[in-house]
Amino acid sequence: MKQELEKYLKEQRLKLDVEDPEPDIVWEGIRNQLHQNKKQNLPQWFWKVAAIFLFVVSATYFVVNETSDKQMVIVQLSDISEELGNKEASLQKVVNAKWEMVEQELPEDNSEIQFLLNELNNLDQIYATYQKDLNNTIDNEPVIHVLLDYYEKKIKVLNRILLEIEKQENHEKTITL
Amino acid sequence: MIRLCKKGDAKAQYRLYKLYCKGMFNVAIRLTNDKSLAEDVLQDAFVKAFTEIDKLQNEKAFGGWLKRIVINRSIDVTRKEKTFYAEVESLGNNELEIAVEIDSEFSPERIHHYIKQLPDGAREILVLRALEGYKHAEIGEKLGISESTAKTQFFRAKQLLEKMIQDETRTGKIFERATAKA
Repeated sequence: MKQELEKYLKEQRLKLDVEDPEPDIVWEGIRNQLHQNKKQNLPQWFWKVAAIFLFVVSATYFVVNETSDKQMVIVQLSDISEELGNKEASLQKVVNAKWEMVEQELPEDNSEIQFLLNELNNLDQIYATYQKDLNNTIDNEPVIHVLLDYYEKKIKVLNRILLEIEKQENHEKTITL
Repeated sequence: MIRLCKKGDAKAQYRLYKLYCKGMFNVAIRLTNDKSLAEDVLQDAFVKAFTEIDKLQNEKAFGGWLKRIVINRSIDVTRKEKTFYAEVESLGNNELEIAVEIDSEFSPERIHHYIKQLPDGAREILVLRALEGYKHAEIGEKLGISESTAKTQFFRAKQLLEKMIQDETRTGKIFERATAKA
């Protein structure tokens, strides 16, 4: 029986689906692509959280770093042990007393003792360097030894300055007599 | 099932895929006339559908929505393959109304086979108009041709199909186009 082609196609539409794909292969491709897309298209909130996390970590690192730098400046021998602190304090006391004496006796023309004053400055610079080392290594025996030695050397130099001043004064008296 | 797919449930996605894969594959293969291309279309279409399923308001419309994706993707890939739509001389309305008939006993498998033997442009237009219900104006817009060319090409596609079927009925030989890919 003859039938109009268009009408026939409409009526038989579903029966025309006669071919089969390779369903499992195609599904595998779909699954892989969906998995890849999921990886690539991470939700926006993920990036926001990641950015906040990164900011917090950087800020914490910066603050901790800054704080520890400041702590470095204030660490002293007394922070390590009371005994060392007392030793340092007593040496410091002697240095201060000697320096007060030097200040009182220091002549207007101090060219004769200038090299000793320069040595004091050098010792102070060395002390500052070792104090940094002490902060980095905390309980480092050689550094502790050098720091205590600094006071002793400073006392020696101050004694020498006082001696030189005394010599200079005696010399001046002899000339006057 | 659609609701589960919206949540990204892989099992629901697979069940939905199994339900629609054969029908969608046949749409794609009739449009592309290439099994491997049709499978690529099928894959891309399901990936797009599952990725954008949140946009689907009416869950009952999934099948139609998916089919539109398959058709659009098939047209895209055949365009890449440079399907040629001949701007044939338009036929008058009288000529276009000449009835094209076939034997209603002819098997759907053979019809499917002969649709695939049609030249690329004519085949796409026949599938879109006679099987997928597109209007000539819509076909023209989709394929970038005029409405009258779509009408004329559709009429010629029907005539070619009728001739191939008649030839087989008369000679018992199945027509196989040399360039047919699958």
